[in-house]
Amino acid sequence: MLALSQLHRCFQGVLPSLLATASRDGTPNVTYLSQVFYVDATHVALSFQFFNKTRKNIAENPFACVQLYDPVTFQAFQLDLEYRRSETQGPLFDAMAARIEAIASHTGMTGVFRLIGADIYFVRAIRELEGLLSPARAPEPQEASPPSLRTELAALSTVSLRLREARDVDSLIAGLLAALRDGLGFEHAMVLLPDEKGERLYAVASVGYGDVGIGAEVALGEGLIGSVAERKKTVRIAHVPSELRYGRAIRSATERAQPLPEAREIPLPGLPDARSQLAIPLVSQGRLLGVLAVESRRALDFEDWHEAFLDIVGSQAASALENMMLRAETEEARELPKSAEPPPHRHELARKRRSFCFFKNDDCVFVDGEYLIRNLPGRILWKILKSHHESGRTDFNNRELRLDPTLGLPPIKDNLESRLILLRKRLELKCAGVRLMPKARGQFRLELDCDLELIEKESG
Amino acid sequence: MLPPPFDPELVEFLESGVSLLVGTCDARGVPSCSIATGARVSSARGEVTVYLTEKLAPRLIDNLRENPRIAVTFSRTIDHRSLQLKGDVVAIEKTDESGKRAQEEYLRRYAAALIMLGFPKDVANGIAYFPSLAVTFRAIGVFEQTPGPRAGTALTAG
Repeated sequence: MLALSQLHRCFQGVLPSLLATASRDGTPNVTYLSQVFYVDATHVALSFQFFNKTRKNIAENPFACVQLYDPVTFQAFQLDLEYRRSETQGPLFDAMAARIEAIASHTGMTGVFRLIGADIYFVRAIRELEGLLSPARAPEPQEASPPSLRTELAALSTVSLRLREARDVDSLIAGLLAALRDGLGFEHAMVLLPDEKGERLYAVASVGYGDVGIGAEVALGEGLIGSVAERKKTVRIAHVPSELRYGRAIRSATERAQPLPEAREIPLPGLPDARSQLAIPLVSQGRLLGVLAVESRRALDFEDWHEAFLDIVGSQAASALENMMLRAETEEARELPKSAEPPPHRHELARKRRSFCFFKNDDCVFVDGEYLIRNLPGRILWKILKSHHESGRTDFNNRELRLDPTLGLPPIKDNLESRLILLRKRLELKCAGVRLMPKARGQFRLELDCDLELIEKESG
Repeated sequence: MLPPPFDPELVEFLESGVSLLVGTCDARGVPSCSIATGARVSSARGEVTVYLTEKLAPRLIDNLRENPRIAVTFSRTIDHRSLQLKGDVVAIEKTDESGKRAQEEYLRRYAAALIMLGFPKDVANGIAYFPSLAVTFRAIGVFEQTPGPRAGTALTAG
């Protein structure tokens, strides 16, 4: 008999399966099923999302039949099933719920598709069906050659080395993305970190998208990345639904046509025609430190081993991030804030003048009429610029930011460092004449190549 | 019951080249399922014929010899609009020439939808359909089957 694990490609949810059940009086019911989940060598799980006819039948008569398709060869398989039990919690339920919610949120159907139970079925028989396609038409089974173990291990060791070498959060994340690109060919990837309230994530670094998405935000629970963050579970989408690609393509075309300088949202970087996506939560000791998201233009580009591999990398990166943040906090706690040094005097004839405007209602900073940054990084920038304006001060340290009640940083685990990275990067992009240069650990200097005008407004 | 003649709009949907899912079960209630490769409606008689490729159909047909009850879901690929018909099979015959032409016409429209969804052309145009059996059933109910909370609602009690 065929082994269930040989059907692994059928369990990726690329092609819908068929599901037949029957009522006690012998009336069949047949429907599409978006995904069959592999549980173990003799069990599969089906999602129970609605109290529909299928569910009613299963309560009366435990037998079911599923027809699945291999998304590469289009070979059809049939499983004879017998219902065993429904799980409403545990790792299987969580993994299925995360996937269903991510896809629902991705397609704007949040709340409609919710997992009620993970229904476990015993597999009584597996049959390979001949004759779905005419023999001449069946595509050649093209086994993607799995990467050799040596390549994988070499890549893993490169990633580990980069993580160990990193001296700060910025170089850690940049090193991670570069290693994934160079060692494993993940050409489109980004890292998002949570804000201080844990309500939103913002992109701090990416490869393959240019700089445009730095600072893009996504709410917890929103879309693939937000759902992964909320559930702290990896989700892989092997075949992005075509209607979604269409939506993204329209969005990206609209954005290209009308760049809006006043817009206070930076769109999330993404391939308009992505067909495979994988998002991995960076979790250390149960705490979410960020999300690593990768995508590809090819369907089925990410396989089981990619997911397993990135899970390992993600957990290494999360530990490294956590250590780095903790170390930064404890080391800074021992240092006393140094008094400001006299500003280095610069003689320049015609310095450019940049106008910064702070909107108090949403802590939003604009530079020369163009959106720069908001929320905590916005408040930090405003504090620094004002302090410089009033006293000529140029040297600042993280400790004083942590202790400043007006900034509203939480007392511990504030990820201030990652907020400063975002601020630095947004300044580089939008106003290169204003720089926050890191000095010793936990200290930085404001460098200016321009004159500043500071304006405060109640609201925009 | 689903009294004939059928609503013309219903007939148009059933014959429009949508995906066809067929389910039957044996006397013990053990079900089987597969796809059909074509459907034809006889509105005046209240009957529907679906074509089952012989190689894919043995279990479906074996079940029908024990229990004539059949379920066929008609699902439009583009927007997932779906209806399910339930009925009792009244005839199982070798597909004749006119039935074969109906299958070819069905597959032409169905393949176009599959290609639009991104299926390879060879696959969409390569679905095996002959030799096949023409399975005719008298419809007794039609149910809403579009995915979501309303799935399973009877449009005409059956």
